[in-house]
Amino acid sequence: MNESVTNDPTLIRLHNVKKVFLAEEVETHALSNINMEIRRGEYVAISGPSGGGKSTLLSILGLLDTPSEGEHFLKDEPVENLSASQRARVRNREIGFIFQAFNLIGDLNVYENVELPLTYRGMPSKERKERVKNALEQVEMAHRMKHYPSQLSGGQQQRVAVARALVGDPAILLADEPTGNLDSKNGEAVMDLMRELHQNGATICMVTHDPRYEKYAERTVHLFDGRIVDESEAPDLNLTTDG
Amino acid sequence: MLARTPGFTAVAGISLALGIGANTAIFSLTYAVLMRPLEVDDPDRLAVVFSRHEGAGPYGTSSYPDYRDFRDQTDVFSGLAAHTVAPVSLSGGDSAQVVLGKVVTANYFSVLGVDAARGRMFLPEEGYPSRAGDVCVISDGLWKRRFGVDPAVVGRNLVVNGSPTTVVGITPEGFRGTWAALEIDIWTPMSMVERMVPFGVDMERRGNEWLAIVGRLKPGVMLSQASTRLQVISNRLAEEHPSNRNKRSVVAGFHQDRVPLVSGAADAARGVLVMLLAVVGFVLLIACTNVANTLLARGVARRREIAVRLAIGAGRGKIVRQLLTESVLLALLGGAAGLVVARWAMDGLLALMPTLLVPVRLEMGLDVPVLLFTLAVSVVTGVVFGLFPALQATRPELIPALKDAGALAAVSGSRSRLRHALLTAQVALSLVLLIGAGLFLKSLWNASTIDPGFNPQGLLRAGISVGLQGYDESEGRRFHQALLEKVRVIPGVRSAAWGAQVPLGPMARSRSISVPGYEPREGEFMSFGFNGVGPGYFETIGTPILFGRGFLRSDTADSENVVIVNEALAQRFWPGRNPVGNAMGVGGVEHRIIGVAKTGKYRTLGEDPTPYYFLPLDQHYEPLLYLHVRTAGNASSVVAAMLAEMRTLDPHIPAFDVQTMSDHLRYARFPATLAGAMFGVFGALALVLSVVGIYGVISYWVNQRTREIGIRTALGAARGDVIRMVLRRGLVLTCGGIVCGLLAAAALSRLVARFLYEADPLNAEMFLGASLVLVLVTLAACYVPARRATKVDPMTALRYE
Repeated sequence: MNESVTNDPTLIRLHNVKKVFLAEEVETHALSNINMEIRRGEYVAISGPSGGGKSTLLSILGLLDTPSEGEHFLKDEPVENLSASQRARVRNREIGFIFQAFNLIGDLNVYENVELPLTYRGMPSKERKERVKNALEQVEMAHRMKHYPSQLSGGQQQRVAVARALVGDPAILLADEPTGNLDSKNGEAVMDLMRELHQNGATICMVTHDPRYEKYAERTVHLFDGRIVDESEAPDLNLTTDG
Repeated sequence: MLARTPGFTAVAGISLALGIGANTAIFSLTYAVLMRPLEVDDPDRLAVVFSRHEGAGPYGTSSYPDYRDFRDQTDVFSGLAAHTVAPVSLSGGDSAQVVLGKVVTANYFSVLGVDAARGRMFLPEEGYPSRAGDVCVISDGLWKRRFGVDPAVVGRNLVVNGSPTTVVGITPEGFRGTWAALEIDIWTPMSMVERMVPFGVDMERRGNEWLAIVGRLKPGVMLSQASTRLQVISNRLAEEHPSNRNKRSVVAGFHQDRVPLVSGAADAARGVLVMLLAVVGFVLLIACTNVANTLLARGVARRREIAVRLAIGAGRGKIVRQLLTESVLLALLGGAAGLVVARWAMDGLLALMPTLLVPVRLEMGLDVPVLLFTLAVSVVTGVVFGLFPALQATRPELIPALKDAGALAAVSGSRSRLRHALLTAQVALSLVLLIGAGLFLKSLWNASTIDPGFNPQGLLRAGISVGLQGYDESEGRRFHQALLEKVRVIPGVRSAAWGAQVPLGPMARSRSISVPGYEPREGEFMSFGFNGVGPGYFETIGTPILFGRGFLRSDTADSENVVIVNEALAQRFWPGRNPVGNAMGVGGVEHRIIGVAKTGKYRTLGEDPTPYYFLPLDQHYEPLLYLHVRTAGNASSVVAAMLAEMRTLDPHIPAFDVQTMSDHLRYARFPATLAGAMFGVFGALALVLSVVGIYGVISYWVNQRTREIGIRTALGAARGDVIRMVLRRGLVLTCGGIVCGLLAAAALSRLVARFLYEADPLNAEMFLGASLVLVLVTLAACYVPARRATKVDPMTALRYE
């Protein structure tokens, strides 16, 4: 991936992207003619009902999956035909994932979980240590460095997951229902954290089906049956939920 | 459940069949050699009487006068009998046959409590010192083989060692005397001793200790009481006969502890068999860990089912019993298949047996005790590999199990630790066996390259006993010289010579020596092995004479008594000097040393350089000799011509134990061959089982971590990262086992050192090599699951959300 800084504000561009799943000779069109852009520093929410194609779209954006048709650019580079190892490299350097179920590795402590993406870059240990410390301080979890995931609450686990997503300084954070496994209080705390990150310049794309959290994003893309049916801008970025 | 999972049942069954089958086969061998009860009345009350001389073995024999005194002066035995083994010539028609016989006191059969199946056993008046007639009892086997179950054989005369002897009885089927591994075919009373014992004995000399003694303890008498009583008599005899009977301890041991081998051999056999039992025990443990690990994995898969059962009120004990029943059933299936494996293994073991100098019959088979052993091993195995998984499986955290939640942490810490501990144990056991296999294969290699002290290529030997045919000394000497002259001119024969013993044969003789000017330390054992040999012996067998000369025809009874010593004996008494010309006392008679022979191997290939000496046959007549023939090519090619020449001299003299010395060395190498083959086979088996075990554990580990691998892949782990992660995991698990295995092997090496031929039991290369093999095997076993891990689709792994 070209690391050079460009003036083009578009970070990700999808053009006529389709995703078709074949199951027992039955074609399922998960995504159809998706055209969208995500600009640098933008906070985009993807919403829609279950089965609408939100997670599939996020997987394609995160290079976990490839489109059946169409073009996919990241930093102006086409990425839809990259090999598995090339995609792994791009994911590692350009994308930070935040999952609904946190997906921390139980055998690793907080520090090791956050360090994990950096180990795949072959980064020297000293630099890794510095970065992990910073990332954990950002999410206010530095004091739990030696703890294991099972020793943390759900909210704390998700904060660690956010730190893991941030630690590699990715071009974009992809969050898949980040509050789905949290109670409302912890959910809001995580959403506040993400907003803070965005305010500090992070590009975020979040899948959610909760209308309360859509409002945290600048723009919401509505999916239904694999198509973008609507796009809306948020009126006030400083909106807070009143729940 | 077993029928519903045929793949698991088959793999586990095969693992167990191999483990249980190996154990059954080795137990069957152990039972045949050491445990099969004697076919006598109440064998638990039979005791053996040993004389223990300082510096000699613990199973010494006794003289006839000692036996007589023990018999007449103790009140602890209801009967005391003496016996010895001797080859016997049976002739009839144009051919003669050598069988193994026993010369026994007349009360031998009554002490054993054995009656004749046909005819009768010996009468008191047929025993020594009377000469009430030449009679014999023959075995059921000989009766069937040689006489075709002819009932009229009782009362008929057989030509035994050249003289007519009346058959008075036939032993019951299965009876083979007190050394049941030896196939004895004929028993004669002690009154016939002069005709029966080829080396000649003096019945009334106390120094002539050649008899084994067996007695039946009186009811209520303990072994210790018998030993104490015998010791009192022995001490008194030493005081009464100070010139020819030294002090020794005399002990009584249970016959069952020594059967069915000759006493000394039983100890050696016991050592080897215990080692083999340990080896197959290790193999079975490895198989058990495999199955236990698989059951633990199944326990995880069944945790929901078990949780439901527990939730609706089933007691834990009931579920443990159900799971144990399944594992025991599985083990019984494995045991049944193991019997087939055992049958093959027994055939293989018997095929390894070399031709021995004496007829030995190992009755290995799947008889009742062996089947009971297999049943017991199977049940215990089922409980051993089933208990922990059953206990683990019935301790689930009910709520998550019922919800099937927390898949990422599905395996509890303790269960996972148990699996890893089992794998560590398995790897450790495999490494011990691999190191053992390496050591014993090296030992086998060493045994096949050890210089035995003679050149076996093209060398033939044949046992010939003129004594059995009743020749006196002058007739015997004439026969020996005539045959030698005839054989030497057979085309293809380079040289021939007589020797009383075959190097590395089962028989050994020793006699005390004295060295002028040398004062033995107190208790120093001055008795050394010796052989009687004729002129040309050293050239014929290929043993170099380092100083002086070999025996010549001029070394006769009328010339000076001479002796040749080996280098080890020379070094011991004349260190750094050439002893040729010095004197040495043998049997109280001074002999002049005329030569020093290179030290060879006399009893075993693994022995340290052992002092030994040679006496000329012309000065020390022996009626039973081995003719050694050096040929230009294939030694077997002259056998027919040699036997034909012998028949022209006397058709009734049998040749026995006709064998090339290359074949004879197979006998000497048998322990190394057996150990090498056993460790090689079981080491390979352990390795295969370990591969299966490591593969299973790592496969399971990968399956359990599908999501984790998906997460790592999502975070940017490349293919190589995933492969490295899985291989690292395998190596970490294996390394723990390797460290444990190395420590265990180092600790156990001391125990196997005595079975190795010139191989260091702590050989660093072997330890490293075996570890490396295990590491490579681990990498190979992990590679398939690692490849599978790279195929984990992060989308699929994370989709459950």
